[in-house]
Amino acid sequence: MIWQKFTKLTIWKNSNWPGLILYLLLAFVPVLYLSATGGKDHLPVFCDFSERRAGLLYHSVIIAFFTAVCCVSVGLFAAVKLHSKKRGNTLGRWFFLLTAPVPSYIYALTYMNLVRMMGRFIPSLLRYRMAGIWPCVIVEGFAFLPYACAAAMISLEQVDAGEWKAALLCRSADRVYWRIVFPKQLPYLMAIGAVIFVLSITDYTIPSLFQVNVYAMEIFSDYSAVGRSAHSLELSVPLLFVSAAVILMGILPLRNVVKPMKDDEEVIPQYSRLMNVAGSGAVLVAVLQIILPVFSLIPYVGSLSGSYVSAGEELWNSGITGLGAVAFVMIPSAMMALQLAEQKTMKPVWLGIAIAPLSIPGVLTGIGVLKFFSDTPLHVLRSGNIMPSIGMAIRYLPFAMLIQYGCYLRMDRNRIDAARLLQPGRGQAFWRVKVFMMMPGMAIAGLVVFLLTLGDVGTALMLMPAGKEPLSVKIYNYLHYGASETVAVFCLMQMAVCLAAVGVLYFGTWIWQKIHKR
Amino acid sequence: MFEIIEVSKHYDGLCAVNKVSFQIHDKERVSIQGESGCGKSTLLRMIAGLLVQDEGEIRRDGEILPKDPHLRGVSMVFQDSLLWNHMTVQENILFGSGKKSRAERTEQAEELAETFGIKELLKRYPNQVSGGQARRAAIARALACEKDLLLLDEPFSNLDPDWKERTMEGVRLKCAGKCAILLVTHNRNEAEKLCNTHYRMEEGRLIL
Repeated sequence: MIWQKFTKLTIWKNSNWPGLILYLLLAFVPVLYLSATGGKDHLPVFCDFSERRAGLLYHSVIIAFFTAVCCVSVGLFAAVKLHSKKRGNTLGRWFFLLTAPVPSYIYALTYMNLVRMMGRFIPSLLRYRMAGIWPCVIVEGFAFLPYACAAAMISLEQVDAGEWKAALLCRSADRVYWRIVFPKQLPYLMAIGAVIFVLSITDYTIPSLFQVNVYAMEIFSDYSAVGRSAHSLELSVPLLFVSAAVILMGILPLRNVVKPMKDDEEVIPQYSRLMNVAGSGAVLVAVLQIILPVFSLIPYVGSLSGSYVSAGEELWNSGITGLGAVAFVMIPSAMMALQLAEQKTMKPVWLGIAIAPLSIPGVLTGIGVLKFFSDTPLHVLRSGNIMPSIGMAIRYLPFAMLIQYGCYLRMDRNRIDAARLLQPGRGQAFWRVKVFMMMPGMAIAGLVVFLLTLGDVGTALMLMPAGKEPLSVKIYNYLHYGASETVAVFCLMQMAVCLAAVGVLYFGTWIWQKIHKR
Repeated sequence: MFEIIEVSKHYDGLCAVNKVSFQIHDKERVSIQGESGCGKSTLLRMIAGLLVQDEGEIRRDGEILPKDPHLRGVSMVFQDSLLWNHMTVQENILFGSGKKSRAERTEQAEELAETFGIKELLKRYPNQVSGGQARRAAIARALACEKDLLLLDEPFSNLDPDWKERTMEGVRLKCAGKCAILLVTHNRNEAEKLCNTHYRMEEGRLIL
C-alpha cells in the first residue's frame, strides 16, 4: 500500500529523478554515513551539551545574527540608493560585486592591518579591537556584504515597475517603498539573511583569528583531539538544529515569489532626506568594502611574481580542487533544481529537503567524507585532489542548486513548452532549447562553487591530503603566525585567481553574445 | 479526424473548461471565439498535450493521443511568439521540420519566409526583429513542422492590418489540402476570414 503510494508520487514521472537521487545521496552522505557507522561507544546527543558549549553556541549565534542583520540592513539601503539613480551605466550599479569573490580572511588581514596602523595613534585600539566578537562581525559583514547588496538589488528589480509607478502617483516615495516595495523584497532579504547566517555560524576560521571560541571550532577541535567522527556528529546536532531552522524559515518563503524577468522599465523615486542619508551611508560602506582590501594589498603587488614560487603548488591545488568541485556539482545540482522548478505537488517539502544540507557545517562535511573514503575502497583516492573536490562539491551542492533553482524559475516555461511540442524527435527540446536556457544558471552556479571552494578553509583542513595544501589553508596558517606581509601577497594571489575566474565567465558571456549577436 | 470528447479542466476549484466536445475533420478549418479568460487557450494546450485534462478524452482516428506532445501530430502558434533567442530566425523555423536533406530544409525555410515576408531576416536573431516579424516567424515555424492539425492561439493579434491580411492568406495557402486548423480568437473577422466552422466559448462551455 505504502509502496504503491510511493511509486505514484509525481516526482518519479519526471526524467530528472536520477539526478534527484544523486543529489540527495551526495548532500546527505556525510551525515548519513556518520550516523550509520556511529556505533554505541558515545554519549547520547544532549548529554555532552555542557554550559561551556552552550556559551560557544551563544557566541556563534550572536556573531551570525549580527553579521546577517548588518549585511542585510546595509545591503537594503545601498540597493535603495543605487536603484533610485537614473540608469546610465548598468554595470556601474553593480560595482559592489567586484570583491564578492574575495574570501573573508582577506578582510581579516585588512582589518588587522588597519587596527595596527590606527593603534600607533590610539594604542587602546590594539587592546580592544584585535580580539572579540565585534571584529568577527565587522570582518564577516564586509565579506558577505556583496551578496546582501546583490540580493536586495535583484529583489528591487523584481518589483513590477507599473505597480510602483502607480503607487508613486498617490503617495510619497518613502511611504510607497515601505508599504508596497519592501514587503515584496522581504522574502529575498530573508533568504540572503538566512544564507549569510548559516555561512557565518558554520565558519570557525574568522572567529579563531580573533580569539573567539565558537561552536564550529569545538567540533573541529573535538575531532582533532579525540578522532571519533560519530561524536563529532552528535556534537554538531545543536548547531545543525539552529542553522536548519534558520535556513528553512528564511528560504521557504522564496518559493513562490520568483517571477520571469520583466521588461527593463525604469522607476526613479524621489526619497526623503533621511532615506537618502541612510542610502548614502550604506553605499559608502559598500565602497569601503572594496577600497579597504584593495588599498591594503596594493603595496605588495611588486612581490607577487616572486611569491608564486613559494605558493605556486598551493595555488595549483586550489585551482584543481575548485574545478573538480565544479565538475562534480553540476549535474546533480542542475537536475535537482530542474526537478524543484517543475515540481507541482509537495513543493515546500522537497525544497525543504533540498536546502536542508545548507545547514551542515563544513567541518562535519569534511569529517563525514573523510570517514567514508577511509572506510571504503575509495581510500585509494585519498592522496589526490579527488577527495577534496568531492568534499567541496558536497559542501557547496545546495548553494549551486539554489542558484540554479532561482534561475530556472525565471525561465520562460512557454518557450520550453513550444520546443516540447514542435521538436521533431524525443530529446531535441532538451538538448537544443532547454540546455541553452539553463546555461546562465549553470555558469553562475559553477563560478560560485569555484570561488567558495577556493576560499574554503573549514572543509579543506579536514580533507587535504599530505602535500596537497590549498592556498586558503596556507593563508589561514600564516595569519595565525602573524606574517602579514607574506599573507598579503598570498591573499593578492588568491584575489587575482578569483577575479580571473570572474573575468573568464564575463569574457565567455561576451563571446557568447557576440556569436549570437544578442 | 480529431475528436475532443467531454474534456474538462479545473484550477483551484474553478472550472476553466467544462465538458467540451467537438470534432475537427481532416483539413477542416475550425474557429473558437470567446472573451479573454473563457478557457480557449487552456483547451488548445490540452489538445497539444501541454496540459493534461482532468476529465474526457482527446482522440485521433479513434485512438487516444499519446501523452508526449511531439507525437500527437499537432503544431501550435502561441499567444506570444516564443522564438528561441539563441537560434537565428531560420533555425527557429526549421527546428521542427522532419528528416529532410539540408537543401530541402533551406528551401522550405526560404519558401515559408517568402510567404510571410521575413526572407531578409532569416539570418537574424529574434531580438533583432520586431514583434510583428517575430510573430510571422513563429507562424512559419509551426507550419514547417507539417503536422496534421495547426493550433492557432490569437496568432494575428499584434500584426498591423496589412500584414494581418497577408499572413492569414499565407496560412490559408500553406494549409490548403494539407492540414486542419483550429483557430482561437476573440476577433470575429479573423475567424470568419480563415475558418469555415465556428464555435463560441463562454465560461468554459462550447456553444455552436
